[in-house]
Amino acid sequence: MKKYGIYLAYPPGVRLHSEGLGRLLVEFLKGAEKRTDIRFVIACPSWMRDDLMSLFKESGVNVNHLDFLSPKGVPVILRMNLAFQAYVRNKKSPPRKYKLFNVIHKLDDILSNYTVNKVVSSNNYLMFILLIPLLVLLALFKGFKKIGSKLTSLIRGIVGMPFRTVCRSKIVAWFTVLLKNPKDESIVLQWYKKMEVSEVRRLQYKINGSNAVVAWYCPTAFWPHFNKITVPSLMCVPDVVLADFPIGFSPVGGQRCLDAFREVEQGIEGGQYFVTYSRDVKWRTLVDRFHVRPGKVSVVHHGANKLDELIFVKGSPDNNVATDAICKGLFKGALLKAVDSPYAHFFVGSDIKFIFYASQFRPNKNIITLLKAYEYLLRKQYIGYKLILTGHPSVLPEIKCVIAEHRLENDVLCLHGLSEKELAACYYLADLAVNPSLSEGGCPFTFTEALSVDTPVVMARIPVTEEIITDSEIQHEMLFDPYDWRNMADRIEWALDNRDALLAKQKILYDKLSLRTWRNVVDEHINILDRISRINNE
Amino acid sequence: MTKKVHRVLWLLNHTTLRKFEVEQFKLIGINEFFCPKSFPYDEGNLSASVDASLDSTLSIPLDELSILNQQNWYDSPSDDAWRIANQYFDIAIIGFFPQQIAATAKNFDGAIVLRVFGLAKGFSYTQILMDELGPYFIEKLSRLGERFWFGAGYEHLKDEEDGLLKQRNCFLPVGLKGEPEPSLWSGADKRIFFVCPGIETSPYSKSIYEKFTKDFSSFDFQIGGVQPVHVKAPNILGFVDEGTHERNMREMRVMYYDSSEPHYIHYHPFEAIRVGMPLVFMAGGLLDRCGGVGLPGRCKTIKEAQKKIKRILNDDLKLIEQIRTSQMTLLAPMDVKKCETPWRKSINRILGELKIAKTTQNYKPNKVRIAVIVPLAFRGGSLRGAKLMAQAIDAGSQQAGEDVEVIFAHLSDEECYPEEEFFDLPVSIQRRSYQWRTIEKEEAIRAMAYAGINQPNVIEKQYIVPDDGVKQFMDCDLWVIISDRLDVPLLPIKPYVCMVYDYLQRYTLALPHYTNVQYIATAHKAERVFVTTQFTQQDAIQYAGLPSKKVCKLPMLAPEISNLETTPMTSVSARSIYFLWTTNLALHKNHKNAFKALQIYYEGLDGKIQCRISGVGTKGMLKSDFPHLMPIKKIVANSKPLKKNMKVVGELSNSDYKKQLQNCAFLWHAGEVDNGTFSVIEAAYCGVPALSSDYPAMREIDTQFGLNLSWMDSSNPKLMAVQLKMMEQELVLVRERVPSLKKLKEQSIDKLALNYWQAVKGCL
Repeated sequence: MKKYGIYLAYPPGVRLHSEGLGRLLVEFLKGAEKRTDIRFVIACPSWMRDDLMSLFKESGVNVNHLDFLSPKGVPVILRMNLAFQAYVRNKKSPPRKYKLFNVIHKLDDILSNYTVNKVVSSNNYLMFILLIPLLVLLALFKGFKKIGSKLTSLIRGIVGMPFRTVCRSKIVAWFTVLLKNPKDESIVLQWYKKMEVSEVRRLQYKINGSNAVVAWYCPTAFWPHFNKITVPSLMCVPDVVLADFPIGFSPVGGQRCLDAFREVEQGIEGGQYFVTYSRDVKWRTLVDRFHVRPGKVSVVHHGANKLDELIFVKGSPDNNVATDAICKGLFKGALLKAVDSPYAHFFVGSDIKFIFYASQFRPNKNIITLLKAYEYLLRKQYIGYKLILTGHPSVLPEIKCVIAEHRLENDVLCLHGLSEKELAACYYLADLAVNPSLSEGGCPFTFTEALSVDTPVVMARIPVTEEIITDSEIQHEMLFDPYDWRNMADRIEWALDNRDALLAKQKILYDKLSLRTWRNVVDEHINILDRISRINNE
Repeated sequence: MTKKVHRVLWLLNHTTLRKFEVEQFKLIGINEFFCPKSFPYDEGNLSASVDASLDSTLSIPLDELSILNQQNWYDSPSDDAWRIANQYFDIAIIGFFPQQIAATAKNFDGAIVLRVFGLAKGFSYTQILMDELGPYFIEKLSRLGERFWFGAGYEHLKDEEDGLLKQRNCFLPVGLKGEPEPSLWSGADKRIFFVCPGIETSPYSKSIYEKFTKDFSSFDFQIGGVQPVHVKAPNILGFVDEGTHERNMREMRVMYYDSSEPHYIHYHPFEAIRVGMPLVFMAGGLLDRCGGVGLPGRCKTIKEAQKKIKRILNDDLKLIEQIRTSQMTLLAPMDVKKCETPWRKSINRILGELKIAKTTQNYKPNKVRIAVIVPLAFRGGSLRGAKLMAQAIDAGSQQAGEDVEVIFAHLSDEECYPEEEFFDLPVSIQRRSYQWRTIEKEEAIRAMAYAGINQPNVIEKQYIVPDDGVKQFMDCDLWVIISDRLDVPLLPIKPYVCMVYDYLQRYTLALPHYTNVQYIATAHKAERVFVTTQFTQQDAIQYAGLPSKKVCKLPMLAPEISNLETTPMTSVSARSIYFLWTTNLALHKNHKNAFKALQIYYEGLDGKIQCRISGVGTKGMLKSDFPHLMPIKKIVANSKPLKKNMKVVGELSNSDYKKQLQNCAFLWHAGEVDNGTFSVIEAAYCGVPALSSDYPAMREIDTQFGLNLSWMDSSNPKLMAVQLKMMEQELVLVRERVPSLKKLKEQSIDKLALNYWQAVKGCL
């Protein structure tokens, strides 16, 4: 049995559950489960271990088929920070002093009600006189309560002021940032970086000290230290989109983004072997831009990303009706995640029809062109559909501006932070999925995601898509020029008018593509790892 | 004398409940039941099934039974089905499905028992009904009087309700059919049996599942319950057949029941007890009320539950026997025989009060009164539309033989609404003027309370009500508000319908968000929204987010120009002196393109027909400061031919307008997208053709009235000018296409009125 390694080195605080890579890793490992001739070793920093185990358990990955390699013991300062964050999160019950106030108020209510009831119902003077002490007691109680309240305010004022002054001071502010979000503090960021470097060193010591693994795989180009592994290594380069859109990305992410880019550059420069998701990225990015030798780069296309299992109902008297009902329920939840929309709540419980584009907002995603095309369709062609996106408008302010300037807040909804099921429900309920992206690492998942839940798609004509969608007739019907908003609008309008026919044709192609499972992807990766390990031995 | 046969419409599909309740009815002597043959997907229907065998109990004609079987009893069965239901059935047992409740309350004449089994803590059925069906629904239920019952499955459920539901409480205890058989249990499978259906379809179930797997991660367990969507986790049984389920019940070592909901309980813990499986359950839930306090299976903390379960799984026979023996007391309240007495008492009460209700003469209700309220100072076409609406409701109710009074309400502004403006209103329609009165929140709360609307949703700082100086239209049963353009929320003190003509703000009109949100909210709070074009219907659903069931498309009404003599067509040349452009100053009237088109027509295409401009505000068009009108001043100033050939006649009286219209060559409608204009219909009545901007609402008008309009692209002045020239050159041909009076009269108010009345009646 051969052992291959998977190298992961995310910094603390990154939850793989919400990263695309996390989902890919899960699919990859599930695809590998049936292979009895190989075994994967996951190498990761100490802080990733628990999160990985939780991800695998939730996703049904059989951890008995995996080995783990990670340094012992999470760094102490990180443990302290995580403990503090957990404490702040879990603090629910009000402070004791508020509990005391509540008791006093309750006592006041009970005493007042009892006394007043007794007084107003006494119908003879003797009884009334006997109640006077009770009245006095009530008056005293209320008096003490009032005095107590005033005293508390006074004390708060006197003692609190210096406390508030201190709280407003820069030192306290600094401490607060330090404890709550240390990476936002520049000195601490440096410490974090050093901690990461130290952890990676520990990890690599373990890796290089183990002879069991014949080749290593890293699913991203973000970690140039992967190249320090002495055994044959295969680095996945999905894309280097900053290189393709230098001006578009220049205002995004500041220095941290530039630093990350430099690391990718270093990673590629020092890499041994590479794998990409498309021939386009191999030739245009790695070979042309980064001057990597073509023989060092393999291409493994994605498997199909299906969403049907997340929402399709089976075993009900009418599965379609049941699936509809579930998806409408999920969609209600999704609508509540609308960003910057004063209107989204009106659509909960309604029957809106919409076009759907699931993607983060990035300069390469071509959102502005899509908005131009959509506005034309809405206001000149009167299509009536809404456009639902999943990015956060604040990431690219120009998107927010366009939506506001063109008064599209009601019709363009940005539903951000959707769960996988909510995403699946949106795809299912959409009349059409669209992907206008100018650049991707491989054929966008939009195609298989949408068609897995019976929604047709129109997409930008880009090389990575044309590598997979090769039939010229289907290309003509479903692909548009991403630089031409009119062409995009025409294609969308045509697709809406011919939805069923387009869906029927695309389903045939989808059925073929979905034969390519993650098992196939894993097998091809293993073949490459095997080949590079043998080259090294030779 | 033969005893009356009572029949029950049992409009639920819960398998276990059905077995028990049918048994109860039989014990009381009611033996005929109808159950639905389909049910919707719903979290509450995961334990549902169809049982057609009960059809054999019914002594009603088979063809009528067949009609009942075809219906969706959870939504809106047909009128025929209700006729049959009313003819043969006395009692309808319904579940807490809002649409089912609304349909049954509206259509069923017998006793209606709303069967309830408890909600999560903090929720009430009253509030949910108001949220789902509107704040006036409780009032509708109260009008059912002694026919409506709150059929509580547990005695204490009424304590969570207020008002009507509490008053109409009728205790029908939940039970479980079948004798206990604890000897069946073997417990050979040393695992916990935890029932949690719908893990991937219900966030609530998911959280229960996650908590259970976290608390019992070191134990072996099986999760039972239907899973409509596949769960990617081990130990999930999913749907199993009855045989497998019974085997699991016999063989699993222990059941854990986690719920500490005080008002709701599932069936499965009782099913477990019945076959003798030890039940370990958390304190604080409904089992405590059933006698669970003090039982050895009861646990106050998770740690205690973990300890007990561990002991059970490790063969602590003493504990197992203690639990099995003692837990049988929990079945006592569920026993069929024990439930018989309260059931008999309640059903007899239901039937007794139904008999009284049917034989009592009802106090004759007042005449139905509908107020058609014009909320703004509408003039011109908008006012005409409002009056037509009132006429249609009035005429339609008369055609239906209903005793209805229609009030036409307008703002008391004598300048805007002189007397002569209403000479065309039929005498049967009363007219009332009013002013909008603003009331603050506290006053609003009191007004709602006085009006008997329980638990009012008074959340805004201010509201408006129409104040007629008499009773603020509280004498009316329904308000029909012509338009949704209310800047302040309307006090929700009367049910109202909104007539929405368009959502121009989706296309051309810029509105501040706060205002737009307010307009959309007005429509959402209405009982129904009426529209007159499919285009606006689509916008109402897509843009305003109104549920499609709420939006009612009615045929467009148009005024009939009937008091004009149908003078014979004069010669074309005599009528060719001018065409009439009816417009106003609104943004969407496309003035800039229209004037550019006129300039091209006169300068470039040698246009020969003069343009006369009429409409509200048009006299001041060239002097207006509106930003969208500024360009036209320049266009006119720079074009002598245009200046020479255009004449602004301004806002005309009805009679003057009709004269202008009758003598013009054609009517020109140059506006951008809106809900359409019936000026083209009025033109057709005069035998005058029209050239119109091409947009969906105008196409609909063209189709409905058969107008054979000529079309132009209003975004392109050149093409507009070309079409003007075409009209000039082909006038005779175009005139021939104008429909006849006979054809137009097929769309008269009298022909369409019944549609309006039926739409309004559905809201009463």
